[in-house]
Amino acid sequence: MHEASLMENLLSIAQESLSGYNVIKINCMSVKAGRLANILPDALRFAFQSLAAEPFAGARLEIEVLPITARCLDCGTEYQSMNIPLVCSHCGSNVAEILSGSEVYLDSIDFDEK
Amino acid sequence: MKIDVKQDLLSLNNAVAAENRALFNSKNLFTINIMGSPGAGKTTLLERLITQICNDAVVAVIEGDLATARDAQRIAACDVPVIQINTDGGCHLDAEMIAKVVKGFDLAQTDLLLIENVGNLVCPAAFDLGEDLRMLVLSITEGEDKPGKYPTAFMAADVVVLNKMDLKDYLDTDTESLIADILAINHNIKIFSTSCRVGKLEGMEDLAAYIVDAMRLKKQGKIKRG
Ligand SMILES: Nc1nc2c(ncn2[C@@H]2O[C@H](COP(=O)(O)OP(=O)(O)O)[C@@H](O)[C@H]2O)c(=O)[nH]1
Ligand SMILES: [Mg+2]
Ligand SMILES: [Zn+2]
Repeated sequence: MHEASLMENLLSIAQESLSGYNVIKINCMSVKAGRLANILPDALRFAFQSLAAEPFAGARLEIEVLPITARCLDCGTEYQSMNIPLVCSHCGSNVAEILSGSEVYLDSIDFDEK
Repeated sequence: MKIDVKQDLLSLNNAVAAENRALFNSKNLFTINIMGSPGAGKTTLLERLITQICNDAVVAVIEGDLATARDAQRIAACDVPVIQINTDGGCHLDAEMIAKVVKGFDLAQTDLLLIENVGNLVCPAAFDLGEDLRMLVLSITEGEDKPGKYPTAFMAADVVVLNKMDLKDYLDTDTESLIADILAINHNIKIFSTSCRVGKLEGMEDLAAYIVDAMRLKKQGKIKRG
């Protein structure tokens, strides 16, 4: 499980993104993780609680797991799936090109300014 | 107030991996990231492959492990340059670790760099190292439910090696359905069956030939990843 090293990256990205603002309190940070990224939301939350210092400590961490998006190589349908093996929603084929699902990113930060 | 960030948490690793890949390409070096559970037979497979390939290619090896230099010592006995990385508990190798150690090899004189990742079926697949080929080693003693339980590892791999085939008759593992399950997850994956057991060696020529072929194609500029 590498949630701790991802959290270190998240905190440094957040720090950088906020550098131009006069932050007094961070309310919420929103993370999106593709199904293929193998992120355990609980492990990520635990890493946040262990690693977050002021002003991040106490903020809410919102984690959304995004489905895999794929294109069927038999019939061309684009579809989404949380399950593997992928099964085309139109023709049932397993054969697909993966369009997204490995990403894990800090989507947005909600905070109060002075 | 709310600001959009939309920055990938792996962007730093991905950037260093791209630098590694550019370096390897400039030296015409073919690299393989070898992943799999602890005990699947990654190091043993490397030992056998090196013997099989050393007439066709100049090989170098990076060994990743939580601790100890035991695997590197085993590889050094094969008479190829090897560097050990200890992750001190880290569950995967990352691109930065590779960037730091590759300077220790004479890359211009090397054709093939084999990287044994930390024994783990989940985490290594998320970290691009700059490799050309991702090889998953799965021993048939691990059971046929592994593709279903660890599907992302099989999705991320280019090649899967089903190892310890010498034990097939002693196990109830249904290798036919194992192969079907792997192909349902990743129809592009190339599957090899091997035994690394001395006296019962199996599948080494095929796997070695596939690697040497892929290496030559890269040298001719016919494949490029990333
Ligand atoms: N019977 C059998 N044993 C093997 C085979 N390959 C590896 N082993 C044994 O499996 C154990 C773990 O092998 P090792 O290469 O250290 O696994 P690693 O942790 O994946 O690097 C060792 O005792 C090897 O001798 C094989 O093809 N057949
Ligand atoms: Mg090993
Ligand atoms: Zn379809």
